[in-house]
Amino acid sequence: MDNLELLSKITGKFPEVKEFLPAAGVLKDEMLAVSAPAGVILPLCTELKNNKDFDFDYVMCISGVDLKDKLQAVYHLYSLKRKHKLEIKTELDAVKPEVDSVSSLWQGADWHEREAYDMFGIVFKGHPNLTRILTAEDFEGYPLRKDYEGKPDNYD
Amino acid sequence: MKENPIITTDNCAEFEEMTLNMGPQHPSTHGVFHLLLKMNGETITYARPDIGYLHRGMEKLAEKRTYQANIAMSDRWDYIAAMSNNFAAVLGPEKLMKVQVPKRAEYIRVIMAELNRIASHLIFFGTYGIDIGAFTPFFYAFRDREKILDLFESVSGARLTFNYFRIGGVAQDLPADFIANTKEFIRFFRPKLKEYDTLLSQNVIFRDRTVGVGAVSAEEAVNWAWSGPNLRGSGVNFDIRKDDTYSVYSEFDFAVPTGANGDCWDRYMVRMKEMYESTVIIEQALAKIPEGEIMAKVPRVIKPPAGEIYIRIEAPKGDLGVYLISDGSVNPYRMKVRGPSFVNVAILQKILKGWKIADVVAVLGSLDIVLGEVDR
Amino acid sequence: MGIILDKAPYLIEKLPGGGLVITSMDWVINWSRKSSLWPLSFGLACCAIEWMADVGARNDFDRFGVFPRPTPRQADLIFISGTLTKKMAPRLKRLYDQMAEPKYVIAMGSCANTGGPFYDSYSVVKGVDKVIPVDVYIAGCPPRPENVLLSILKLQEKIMKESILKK
Repeated sequence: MDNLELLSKITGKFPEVKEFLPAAGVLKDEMLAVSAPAGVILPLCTELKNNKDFDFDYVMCISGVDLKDKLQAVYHLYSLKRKHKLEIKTELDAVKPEVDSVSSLWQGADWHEREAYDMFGIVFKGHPNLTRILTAEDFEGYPLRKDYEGKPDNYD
Repeated sequence: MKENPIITTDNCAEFEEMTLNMGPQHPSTHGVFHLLLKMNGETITYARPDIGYLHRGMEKLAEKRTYQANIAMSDRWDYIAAMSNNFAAVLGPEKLMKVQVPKRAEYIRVIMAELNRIASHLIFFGTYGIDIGAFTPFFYAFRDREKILDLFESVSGARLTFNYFRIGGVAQDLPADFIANTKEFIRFFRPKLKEYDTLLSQNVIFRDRTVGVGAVSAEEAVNWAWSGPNLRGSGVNFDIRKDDTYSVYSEFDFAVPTGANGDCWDRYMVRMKEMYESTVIIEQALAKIPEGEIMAKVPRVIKPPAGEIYIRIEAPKGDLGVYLISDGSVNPYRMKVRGPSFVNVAILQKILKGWKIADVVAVLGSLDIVLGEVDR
Repeated sequence: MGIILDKAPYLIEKLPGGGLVITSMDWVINWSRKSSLWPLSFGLACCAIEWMADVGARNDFDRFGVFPRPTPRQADLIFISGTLTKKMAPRLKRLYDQMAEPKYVIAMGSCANTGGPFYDSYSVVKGVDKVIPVDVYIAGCPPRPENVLLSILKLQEKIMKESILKK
């Protein structure tokens, strides 16, 4: 399935999902990208995984991005059977970033979401074990945010 | 007289559960990896992998480093296969800048990546032998790996962290005797694969410890987003070199070995067969390598235009992805590294349940994780 | 070693010709210590792979009596081979405390010396000597196996200068 067909099928089912168009002069790779509001992520992903037209069975990557005034969660999905890719971007509030967890659909999303929580403070609602994963349990702050400033401790 | 109670799954809650911390310092964890195990007798009832003991903040540092410096940093993601990491680090900026890499440089890159795949799998072979209880494979593997490192040293000057790839090509052309030496190495190495098979693969104790242990079905493996030899061991024929091809891999003819049962032995055998396939690729590349430039014309200061890109390559451990966002400056705005080991190791919390304590090392070793990539 | 090493040397030293006895004892004790340095088989990061290459056939530091042990209780040398993170630092301190005296530390590579390429990271300890004392530093990122062998020779030199009289 090519990108246009994939896009029309997705937007047919979810009218609030739009094709992500980069700003003027900003490059984008050939992977199809859509932007979706945070509320629609879980139903959208359920459809993408279970509908045999899409068959997205493989999570490539889930990452957070700090856009300074807001946060963004980016999902890269892949279908091993149909060999197509999809990128989903959802913008989140910088103060209270919350989105539904997709780890019930793809177990592989489990640690990606924990990492995004650890690094950006994005709360994935419904995640079975949303705790810090890379940094120590008593770590303060979210290091990959642009405004993060580490406090010197006794090791510095 | 009271009879000895028999422990069954129904009454096991009455017996005391034992908690065992395996790691962060444990010889079989291949680094600083912590596994919290709860056991009923010798049977694992709960497993929790705990990572982050080597978390060096690579993604934050990438935002402070230039693109060239990030190639050097990438050596330290998966430090056993630094050439593959270099590959992933340069592909993103090159695609954003629309650089056409010269053919000779592409061939050199493929040769290096495949040699590094052999070196990486050799470390797996050696350390997995130690995990299972055989020390000899370690010496065999490291003896032969040194020969690959000599080849790397002749092109890049380093043994482990090469920093050999450049945006637009490679740092230096091959030395005059490299092609002859590599052919010599392949002649030397192919019989060694048979030697490894007689030494370890068909060893009765080794087979008893690995066949049927830690089996993962194909659906489960895909659902956990496994990649690389682990996924292929479960019978899924997925190799990014073939299915989502990059560089000049489409010009080579090679097989993708897969397993059948997804147990430790299958994962092991896939790697052993992959080493042979890598020599096949290297041989073809050496025969076809064209003459010419090794660097494209790129500006001295690398400033990719604003944009974003997701690239992925088949590293020895699996699907190595880099999500790169550029804002047009000399540093990346965001660089997310999807390490294959990070994803592959997460499944331990599920598959260890029900196995004996001695099998934990066999399963963990068969995943072939590198903590530099797990924690970044 | 209790009385024999703590008190006896000071008594012997006062006797006529005692200095000769002490230096001979020093030589024997130091020689036996330096000839069987058993390191903890412990790896942190990239340098651990080069350390493993030292165990391997080409470099083989068994020639110097260096033979890795899996537990700190049996080890008298620890190679800090790689980056020490803040999450790992308390564990390393504990491993070091578990080793029996006399114990030696070799900081291997730039990360263990100063933090190396990760000197400005929020999670990296800038030099392992902020946590435990270090005897020998090896430069390199990672150091070559030959360099590791040299560090063992340097440590042996250092051990030969020790005395049971703690001056």
